[in-house]
Amino acid sequence: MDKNRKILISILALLVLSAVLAVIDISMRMRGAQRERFTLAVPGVGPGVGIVRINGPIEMAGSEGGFAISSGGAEAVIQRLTALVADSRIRAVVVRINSPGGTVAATQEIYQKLMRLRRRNIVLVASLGDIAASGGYYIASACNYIVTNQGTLTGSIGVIAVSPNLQGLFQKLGIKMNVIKSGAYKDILSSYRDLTPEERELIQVLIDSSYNQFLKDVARGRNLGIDDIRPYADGRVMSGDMAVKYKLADEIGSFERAVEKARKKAKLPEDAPVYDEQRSPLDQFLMTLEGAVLNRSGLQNRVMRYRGGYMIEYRYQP
Amino acid sequence: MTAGFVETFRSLKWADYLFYILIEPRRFARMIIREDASPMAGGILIAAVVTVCDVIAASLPGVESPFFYYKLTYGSILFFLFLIVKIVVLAGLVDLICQFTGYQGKMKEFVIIISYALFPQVFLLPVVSIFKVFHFAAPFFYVFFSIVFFVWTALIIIQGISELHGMEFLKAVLVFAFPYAFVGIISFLCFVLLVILSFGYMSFL
Repeated sequence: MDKNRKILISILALLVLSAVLAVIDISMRMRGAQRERFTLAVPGVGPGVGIVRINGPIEMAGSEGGFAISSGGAEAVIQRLTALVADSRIRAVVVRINSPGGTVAATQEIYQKLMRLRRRNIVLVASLGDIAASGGYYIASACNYIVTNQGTLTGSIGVIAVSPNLQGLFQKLGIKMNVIKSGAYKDILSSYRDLTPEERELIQVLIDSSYNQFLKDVARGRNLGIDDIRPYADGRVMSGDMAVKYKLADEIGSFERAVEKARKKAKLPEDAPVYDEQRSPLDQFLMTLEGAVLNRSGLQNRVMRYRGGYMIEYRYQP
Repeated sequence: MTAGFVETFRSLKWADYLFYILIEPRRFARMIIREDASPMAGGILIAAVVTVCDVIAASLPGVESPFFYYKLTYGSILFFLFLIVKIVVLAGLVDLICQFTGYQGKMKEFVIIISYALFPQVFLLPVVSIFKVFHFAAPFFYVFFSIVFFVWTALIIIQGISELHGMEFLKAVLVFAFPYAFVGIISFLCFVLLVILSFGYMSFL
């Protein structure tokens, strides 16, 4: 064979080899990245404190924005907690809460997850932001220690189900609903008619059941008796200092104080790194863009507030 | 075409084509004037290989998700089709300007030259791999060598145009630059229109 041809065929063979090696390399790195689905911010050297952020209303799947950037949800929070605990560098977790609460099941799932981690002796410190009311507080109560700002709105221990009664409006407009239902309570809490006393009682049973669970879980998380909490568990919101006074929180302090406390409880050095969640620059850009468009059009409030039906929630609704 | 392709493959003529496209593009241009249609099939194959190599090379610097496999399969097919269209459009515009300036139409030869001229771009993959292995600014060198190999491709095409029409090198450069200038101006105008429309839409919200 001609020498030039030999050289060229060798080059092509090397090319094929490099392509195969590159694909293998990408696949292997991909698997590694999947194991660490949540990337951690630098500095990433040595044992430290992981951060989990719970922002906005708590729902199971979270909301998805116009640019398909998911804002999280209980499932994402649980995944994040699992990823952090699987990371050998994480010795303590600070749960930063900025939420008015949310649906009962989603709140309970996060609470249960935190309690499981607590049973495994992982140090959990809650840091309350602007608001950690109702379900937000429910989650915080699962942590070993709660640090709250003085001005944080917290408490609001209770359950709520809201449904508008538009019967008068419907009558005024001459709108009648055709309802074919399989049982007497199938259209319970419908907006086009009044609630019957039996229905009210039925919903009240549900609310009471969720409320009792709330009380029981907060008491368990805070190592208090249910009767210690009940006097303040009438749905009232309270400031941070009131929460400390009623033993619903441990200390007044900022997020940094919560991190310090987590380091101390986990016996980490004072300068131990903090591993926060990192979003890609593209995600950040799209979220900024999405926020700008939604705020400008006033869509955000409408999207956040509107619900197709009623829900029973651990939620502070001013 | 298939029989010609098989014959070319078995005779290892393709190795000569690839060798001369890298070393001596003018000789390659002279060869394709004399040859049958078989180099065309080789050109399509080169476009396919370049597409796959480029997709892998582009994926090397970052951390990939399972979407990589879609990129490598469906994405490669899409990029390959796009590349074929690009080759034909480029060859068409080059041929157009040649005929416009009084030269003979040689569309088929231009398609072959442009598709073979893409061949140096396959070296982007091993080059980026090296920088990736040593963790040394792989994204930067991906961009840098993309430019380098594009310039190499451009030089091959320019020499091919020059050889096919017996044209001066500088004139061939202008002929080669015409499609890019044309598409660039059209794209710029479309972009301006898009920006105006976007701002109009956003202010309407």
